Amino acid sequence: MNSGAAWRPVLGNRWALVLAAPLLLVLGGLVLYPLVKLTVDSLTTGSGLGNYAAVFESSAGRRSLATTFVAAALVTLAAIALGGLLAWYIRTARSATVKAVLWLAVLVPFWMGTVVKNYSIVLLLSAEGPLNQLSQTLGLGSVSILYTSTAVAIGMVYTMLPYAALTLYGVFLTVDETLLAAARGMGASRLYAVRTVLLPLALPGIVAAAALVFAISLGFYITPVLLGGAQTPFIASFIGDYIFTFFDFPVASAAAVVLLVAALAVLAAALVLVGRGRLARAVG
Amino acid sequence: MEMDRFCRLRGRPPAAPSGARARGVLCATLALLAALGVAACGSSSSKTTLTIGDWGAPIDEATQKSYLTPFGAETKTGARFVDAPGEQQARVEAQNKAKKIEWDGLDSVGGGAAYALAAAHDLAPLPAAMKAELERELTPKYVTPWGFAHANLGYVIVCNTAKMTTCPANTTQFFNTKAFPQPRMFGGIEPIEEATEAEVAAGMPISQTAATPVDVKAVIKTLEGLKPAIKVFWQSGEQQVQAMRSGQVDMGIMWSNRAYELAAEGVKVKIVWAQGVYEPSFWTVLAGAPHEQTAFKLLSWIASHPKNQARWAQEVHVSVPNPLALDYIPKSFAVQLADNPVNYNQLAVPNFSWYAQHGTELNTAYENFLRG
Repeated sequence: MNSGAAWRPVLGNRWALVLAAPLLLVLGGLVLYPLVKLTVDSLTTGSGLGNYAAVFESSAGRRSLATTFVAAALVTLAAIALGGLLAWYIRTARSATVKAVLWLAVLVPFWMGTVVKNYSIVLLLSAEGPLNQLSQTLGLGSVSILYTSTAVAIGMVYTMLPYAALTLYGVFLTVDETLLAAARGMGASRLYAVRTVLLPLALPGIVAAAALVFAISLGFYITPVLLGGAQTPFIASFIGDYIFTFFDFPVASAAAVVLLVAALAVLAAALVLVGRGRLARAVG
Repeated sequence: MEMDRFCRLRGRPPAAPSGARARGVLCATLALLAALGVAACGSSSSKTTLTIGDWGAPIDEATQKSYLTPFGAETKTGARFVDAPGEQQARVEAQNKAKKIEWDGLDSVGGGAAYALAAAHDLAPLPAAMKAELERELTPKYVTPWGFAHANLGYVIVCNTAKMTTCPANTTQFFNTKAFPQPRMFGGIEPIEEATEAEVAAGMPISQTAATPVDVKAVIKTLEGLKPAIKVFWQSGEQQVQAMRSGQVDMGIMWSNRAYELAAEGVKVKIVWAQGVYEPSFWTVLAGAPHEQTAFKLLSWIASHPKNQARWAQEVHVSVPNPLALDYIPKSFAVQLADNPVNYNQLAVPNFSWYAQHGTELNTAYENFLRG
């Protein structure tokens, strides 16, 4: 029995709005409202703009911001490089076993709880851990990187690797492998082919993945606490201290807004750098 | 009533047998739910349930077994825990901000947090008669105008004897990095205890710390001298144990309960109480608590049951205030407790009253010392 009106896969604006309404409500209530309130509180409670001054006047605040940004940048570079390699090997591997092993390497960090993941790194890096024992066996002396920024960076790279690899795998799927074969066939070296064919095609996706990894890396909390200790300054720990130890919510709000603005600035920069259209195509 | 009416109306002669069966099942279900609801209402109205802001396991379990179960059996009072480890002060302040106090009491809230809450008038003052009774039972040193000390421990020096032939004999020596250059650990959280350590190391007698305002600049200067030798600033008891166990540090300041747990694991350590710091925690009732009087009864009950306190102390490895509790604790265990006079007399008590008023100054300075 035909009702008369033809079925169309695309919803009209009104129905689309009705179906999206619950999501928009959740987004508004759980994301937008808290962020607006956070910003308003940071400007209207405590000493107002002085809350921001307190963040930047405190040597701990300045160092935390600097360490967080430098660590996030380094972690982004490392995660994109390692994740890119993993993603490309998964994309091009012909053996199902190799693919399965590589997928495991990417997904295992996802399956582990944050605390377990970080404690496993504590065991690896501790004074009586295998890394130090290996170093001493090789006559390289004692390696002591637990409770330093380096330990935090290692933990963050391990956590961020799946984000980078999964995003880049999607990007590499859009690259036609035969173009690389054609470049090789026309005499290009492997490196030249990658630089002139693969990278330009994948660049928007790489920038999108880097922006994602960088923005998430800015907000790490548990990894700096467990692997860096109290003396390693990260902005999330700084905010945590102002909330849970000092109960100074206005300064904590100001520091959180600084972090938020920085993350948004990175995403905006990625948008400008790559162009909206290319970025949208790259991330599907 | 409404449901009864619904069933009677719907119970008129059915149009079809299957419809009648369905309605019958529906009515029976509603009747059962109503009966359960009445029973639930009845039970909740006859029994007070206290809400306690607590630490999670193992404190919750020990408190339940040693205090709440026997107290509940005597008084027909129930209790439920809300776990807020290290966040009790923040959670109470949030309840005040929302103008809705949901908790009745705090189990063993840390000294710094307790004094800060008291200064903000967030804790209910003890009734005069009850305070006098507590002072009689526990001795006045454990009783404040808003609660009593409970779950007390010491900040002690712990040395790994496999790595150190000589251990610092006191806090002054612990701060001497020339005589003891070994890597060590130190507290990285609420800094009043660390400030007290620094005061003692700089020469203040332990008998004076509780009443002397903290000279923040002098404290930070003393700590700066120690900082190059500090490899780990711990943020939890587990981190203290892990840093010693893994050989990350050769010595450090630890909580006494964690120090003895480490020794019990088989790690060869020497534990030094001399010039350590006493850290009390407190049982308190919140101002505006829904069941304030019952909560006070619970506090009185705990204070007056030394045997239960002894059981609690042995479960969680920290000290309790009733002097008679020591009679129920094996001597080998009693020597590990901060309230044992042998240990207590060697400890400096922080000036928590000063900290409640000037906490921001010390916190900010310590944060900059730690991470700046």
